[in-house]
Amino acid sequence: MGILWLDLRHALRQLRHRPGFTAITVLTLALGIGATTAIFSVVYGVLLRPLSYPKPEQIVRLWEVDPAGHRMNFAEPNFVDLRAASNSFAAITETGGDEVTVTGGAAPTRVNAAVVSQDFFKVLGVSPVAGRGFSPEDQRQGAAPVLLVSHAYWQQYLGGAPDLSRFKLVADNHVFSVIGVMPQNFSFPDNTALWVPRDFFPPDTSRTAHNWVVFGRLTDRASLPQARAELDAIAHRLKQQYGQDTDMSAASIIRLQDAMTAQVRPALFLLLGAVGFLLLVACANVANLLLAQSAARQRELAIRAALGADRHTLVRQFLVESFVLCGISGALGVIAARWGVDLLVALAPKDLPRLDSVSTNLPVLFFVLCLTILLSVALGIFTAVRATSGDVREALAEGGRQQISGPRSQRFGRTIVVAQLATTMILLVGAGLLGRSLLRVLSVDPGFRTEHIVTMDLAFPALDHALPELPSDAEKAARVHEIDELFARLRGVPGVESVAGGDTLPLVDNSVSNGGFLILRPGQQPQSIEDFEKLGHNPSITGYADYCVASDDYFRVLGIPLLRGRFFDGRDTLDAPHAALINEALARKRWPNEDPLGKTIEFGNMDGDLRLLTIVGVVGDARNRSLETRPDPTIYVDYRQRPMRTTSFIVVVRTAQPPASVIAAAREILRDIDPNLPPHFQTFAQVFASSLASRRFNLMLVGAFAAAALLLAAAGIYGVMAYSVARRTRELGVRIALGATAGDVLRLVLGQGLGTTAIGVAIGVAGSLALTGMIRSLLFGVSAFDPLTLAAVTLLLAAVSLFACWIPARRATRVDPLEALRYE
Amino acid sequence: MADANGTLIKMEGVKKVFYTDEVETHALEEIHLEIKKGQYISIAGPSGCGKSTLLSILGLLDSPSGGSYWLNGQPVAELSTSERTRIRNREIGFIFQAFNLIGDLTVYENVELPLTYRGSGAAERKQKVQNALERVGMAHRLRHYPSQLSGGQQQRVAVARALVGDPLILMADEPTGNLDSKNGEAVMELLRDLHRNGATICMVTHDQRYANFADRSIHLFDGRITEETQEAHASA
Ligand SMILES: Nc1ncnc2c1ncn2[C@@H]1O[C@H](COP(=O)(O)OP(=O)(O)OP(=O)(O)O)[C@@H](O)[C@H]1O
Ligand SMILES: [Mg+2]
Repeated sequence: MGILWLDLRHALRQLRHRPGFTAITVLTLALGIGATTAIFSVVYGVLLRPLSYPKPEQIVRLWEVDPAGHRMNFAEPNFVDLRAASNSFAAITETGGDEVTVTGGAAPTRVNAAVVSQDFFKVLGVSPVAGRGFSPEDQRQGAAPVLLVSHAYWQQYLGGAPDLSRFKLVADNHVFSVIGVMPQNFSFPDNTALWVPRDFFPPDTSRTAHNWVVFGRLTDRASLPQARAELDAIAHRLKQQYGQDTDMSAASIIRLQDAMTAQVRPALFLLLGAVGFLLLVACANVANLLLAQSAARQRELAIRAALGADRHTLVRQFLVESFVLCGISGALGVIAARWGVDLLVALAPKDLPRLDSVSTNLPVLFFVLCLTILLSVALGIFTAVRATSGDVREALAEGGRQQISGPRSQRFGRTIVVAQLATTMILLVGAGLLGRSLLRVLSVDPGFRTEHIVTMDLAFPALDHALPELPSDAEKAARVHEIDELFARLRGVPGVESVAGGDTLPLVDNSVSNGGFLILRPGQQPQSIEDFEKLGHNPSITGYADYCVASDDYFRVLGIPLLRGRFFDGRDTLDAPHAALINEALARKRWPNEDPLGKTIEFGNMDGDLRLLTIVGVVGDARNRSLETRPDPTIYVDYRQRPMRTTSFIVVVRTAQPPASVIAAAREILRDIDPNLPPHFQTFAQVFASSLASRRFNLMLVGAFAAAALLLAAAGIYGVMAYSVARRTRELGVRIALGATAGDVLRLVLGQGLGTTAIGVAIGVAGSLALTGMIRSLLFGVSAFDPLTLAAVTLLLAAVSLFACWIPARRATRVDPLEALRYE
Repeated sequence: MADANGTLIKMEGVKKVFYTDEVETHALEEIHLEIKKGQYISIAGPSGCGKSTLLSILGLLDSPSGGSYWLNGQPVAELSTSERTRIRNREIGFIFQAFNLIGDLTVYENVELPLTYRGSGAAERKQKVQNALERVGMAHRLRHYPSQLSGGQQQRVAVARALVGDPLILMADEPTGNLDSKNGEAVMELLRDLHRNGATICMVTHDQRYANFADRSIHLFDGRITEETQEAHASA
């Protein structure tokens, strides 16, 4: 113990006596550790940290799988059959839900409401903290409407009042009693604020209406593979029983945590890998610094050895020094990571799941501790072995030799730089590929324009709440009237050029619904949904398309061009024949050699209105779902004829004015027309930008890591070359005395630097080719082996490294030839 | 003027002053010196008297602070850096006390170096290197590295490197200073052979025995030439 204490004191003194070295080493390591820890915090919080429910590993999510292997949400009858037949689950539940406007609290607001079947809370193992949960009495059709509220909603809109019976909340024209409050931070699924019993609503009958998200909790005995096998068997049996009437032929089951994070997993692993590489590059610099240090301490080591220190003693000394260095760096790294995590959480795209569980918590600190110990041991052993190996004795003897040491004695430092350059190259290629992907996405023609458009997102009460009973014409007319009035008054706002709306806005998440339609002749119109489904068995008259409700100016505001026929207009009233516009993709797919105008289609499964739609025009394709996916076949209907799906309705206002003034005016108008309708405003440019948020986030981080690695690598090669030039002063002097010109010397030093760079780049290219395949899912429009990126990165790295070598090379040309005469 | 009477080097009133930390060191004062083609001249004197300084100026490694220096009839003061480099490469051969072979290069590559900097063709280089190494008796060690040779052998290689470019004059600064007497004598024999075959040599030494190998001995004291002796066996 006493010896360790001496070693420690000695190490601290060593570091204090070399403040420049200590500062650079500690900062470099702290940067690497901090960045790695920050990213690890996110990876841990999002991917690894167990869900905060009891026995979270038992909670699973389930999907139907169709014969083509596509995963789909459940159709309710399939769920019911599955629940009855399966033994693997302690509880299994279906949930649906939507954003609704709620009034009755302190202010009207829009929240996510989940419709949950009986065992929902049993699956999650959560129960209310105030009031009570759903009783069997609540969970039947025709029961008195009740709901549970989230802790946040209770606090914000109900004042946290203990007496819940006072509150009646109105949503979708139902008046609900509040019976309980869920625990703080519980908002499953998807930021839910209100939970309503499934059984309050009439059951679904279709086995092809995939409306329900299903979760389950495995029994203590059931394993995931067992459950999977059992579900597949059940699905298979149901398929045999129902044939064409069901899509499900198998089932998919995945742990809930994995299901929640599957989307972001590749990106997070990419970031973790990238930051790991940055750490390696940082460590390489530190290793080289330590190497130079130990060379400078050869005399000290020789004296210690002469005084009887054996190799163990020397190695221990190096280890202690390394522990002190890494320990300080680790501590600074934790501080840096705390800022880094705050920054990451602030910058992260909003759709990153579980962002709230990201923090520098105990497991993260444990990670830092392990990382620091690992680095200490690795760096300590590395320097100790280098410094006490025969190599150094040779170097010690070198002074007494008559020839001049050349670059070969720095082979080790150069090897480190090669590794560093290769790693940096891989990072740069990754960043380059992500950057090119973003450029490719941005250069996609979306089929619509985004400038000068303000969007106002509304959530009207559902018109189809009483399905299968359809809303009355009066109800529909009232909705149309409300929207018309809103449009009219918005058009009067100064600076507003045009106003339109629809249930879908391109690039807005989940706003597109789709389904199968029928191509029928007039007179073939089915009389019921059952008829519709029977007709659907004939593939020659069926098709699949997105279904969008829109107003007449929707296309003009968004700049979607009319290719044939006409837009919606005043003719398209509630009683007139229902009009439809189709996009070019659908026209090309369904009527490649025919004029689609005048054709009639049946799409009544979308909103229950079985009247045929007559195609009156063809419009340009718009990338509704994302910039990265080809436009799907799309059918647009007029909101005045088909107002049923206007629950979520997005008004788009074209204006050259600053958005703020238009938003203020629109808010005022809306309050006047319907005070219980809270709007969300965004410019369409913001919508567009946030659809690229995760791409930008990944690019920004990988780019930052690559830039940092590039800087470190440049410093690394500079350091090695400068050190080499310093050690070769005499050799360079001799060469100059013998007639080497400045050009010769420059070439000599740069050649060496470039040689090192070339090896690094070559290994880097090989490494990139091996690794970039792993990020293929994050690329768009560019191959993982994109030659342009490789070439550009190679050039960049070569240029930076050339510049880093040029400074010591210039110094080398100024070596005095008199060095050759010096003899010591 | 030079070539007519065979004068290779002419110095008039050459001075060298070093300025370090406000201290002026007058390393050389009023040096007058003429060296003719084919002469073997030794420079002797106590430590610090300016021998190396004189040699470095003679070898264009350094410039005088005053006075004039003509090399082969050309006033050196007017030369640009690159011209000086060129002359060092083509007309002067250096032999150092510390040998100064480059450890990472083989014997062959070390000797080849001046020719490489001159831009000679590969075949010419090969032939000349071979020749030079034969003259110093080291042709059998082409692929060796300096560390694999004895001190005497290393200095022979260094002599070959000085010779290889057919310089007008060889400059040697204590070429035996790092050698034992046996090896030292071998190197001196080598220089004498070269001299017999027509080489012009300018050598710094403080060993009187070796000074006697030369035609002419110059003695420096405190930066001035104090004495000059012509040996009996003066050259042809
Ligand atoms: N670069 C320099 N800067 C300052 N003073 C120098 C420099 N080079 C030489 N001197 C000084 O000039 C004087 C002559 O030095 P020089 O090296 O020529 O001596 P020397 O005769 O070769 O000695 P030695 O026999 O020890 O090699 C000395 O006083 C020395 O200190
Ligand atoms: Mg000297």
